[in-house]
Amino acid sequence: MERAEIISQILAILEDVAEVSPEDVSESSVLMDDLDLSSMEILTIVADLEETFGLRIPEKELRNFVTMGDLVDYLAANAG
Amino acid sequence: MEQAQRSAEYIFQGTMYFFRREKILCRYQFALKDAVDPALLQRALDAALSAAPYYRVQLVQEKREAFLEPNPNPCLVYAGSAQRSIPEETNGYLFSVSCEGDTVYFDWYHFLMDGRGVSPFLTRILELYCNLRYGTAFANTPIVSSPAYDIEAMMAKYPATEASESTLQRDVVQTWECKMRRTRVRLTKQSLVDKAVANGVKPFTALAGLLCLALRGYLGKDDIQYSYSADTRKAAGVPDALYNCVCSFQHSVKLGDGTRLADIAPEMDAAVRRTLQPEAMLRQMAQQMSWVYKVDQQKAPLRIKQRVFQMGEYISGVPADFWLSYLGNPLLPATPEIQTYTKDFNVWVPPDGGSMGVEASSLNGVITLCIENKAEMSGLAASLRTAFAKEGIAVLEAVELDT
Repeated sequence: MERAEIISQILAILEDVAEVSPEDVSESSVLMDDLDLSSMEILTIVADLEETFGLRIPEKELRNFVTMGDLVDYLAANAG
Repeated sequence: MEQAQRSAEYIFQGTMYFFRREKILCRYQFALKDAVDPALLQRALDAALSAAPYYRVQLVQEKREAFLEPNPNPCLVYAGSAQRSIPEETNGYLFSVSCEGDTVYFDWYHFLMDGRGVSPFLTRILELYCNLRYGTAFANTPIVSSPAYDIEAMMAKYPATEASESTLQRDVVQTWECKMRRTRVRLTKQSLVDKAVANGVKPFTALAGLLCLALRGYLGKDDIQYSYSADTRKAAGVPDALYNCVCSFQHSVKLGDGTRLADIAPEMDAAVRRTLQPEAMLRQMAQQMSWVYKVDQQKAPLRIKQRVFQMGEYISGVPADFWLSYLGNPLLPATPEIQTYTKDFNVWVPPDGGSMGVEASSLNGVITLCIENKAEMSGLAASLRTAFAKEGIAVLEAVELDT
């Protein structure tokens, strides 16, 4: 899947779950600090991404999701 | 059924069981003195249920709302030992009573009650059965639950701490998720008490330490993480709650080749005693139930809530190498008279969030450990027997029930 398409999907979910405007997000945005996401919001976003991309993200990967770019990298490598 | 009879009062206390990967169905099984008469057991069940409306309910789920309402269907005693699907095969009841040979099986969906919440009802059924079978004279007084605790007041008193990045990034135990197998160990209560006294610790701590020692070899790791639950009824001011009313704690212990119980027990005991203070239990309960509350409040499909809940438990450090639940005597009240009619007791609860679940119960001087194990290795019973015997515990039985 194209990276731009992945980013677009994540931005849509971010806006839906946490009302974060796409223009406020870059790949270097830190999820908790820059985007002010709570742990609940991060987990909801991850659960939504699993549904959207039809995959199961192992819990041990959660620790690696610090920035928006981390999410994009993971999905680019694992989403079909 | 009139909607006015519906109630959501006791829904929240079990809501977390909507979020589990699999429905948590538990089993208490009592072996009695003689072969069980199903007809008499049916009469005992009917009579007990007439005095215990808390259990005479069915779960109704409509869109995102759930209710309990009176169940008008007959509550049947089933023949055999197979666990039925609850409530699909139980006329809507959230528990099931069956019998085979000398054994009464009591299965229940953890949603409506926890182990402590089951005991008064199961004991009453056995008492009324003994009245019919042996001419005893146990009374059938009403079994009534305390009101639901006020979760919002609890959360206001003990505000939840938000998970930080460091929380999200800490190491968590990777649990085994292979096909579940059962192991049972029996030991004399006196030998465990003696060992605990010799080490100046609670019997619970001694048991937890013994399990850690045994599992070091079995799991092949030096750091063993264990979890346990604590009954919070008294601390929460709802002593007669029949619904789920517990909190849980996690600790780890580091072991080496020559580690003995005396080396680890004092520190383990100090940690356990700290957690069992009423204030500590309430704070933990508020923390854990506030997570359930937050997930429940999400405007999301159930499957998303389930996934969020599971990941939340993971980052909270809930997964452990084993869970230890110390039920004690399952009879409530545990009168000497009812105990004379019971030969044996097993309790089986699927582990969720651990490689194995250890349910410890005590009856007639014997402690029975019923272990449901999702690790793939063989030899758990032998590891337990060896570790327990090395510490002078009198092991009466250590068997693998599933091969």
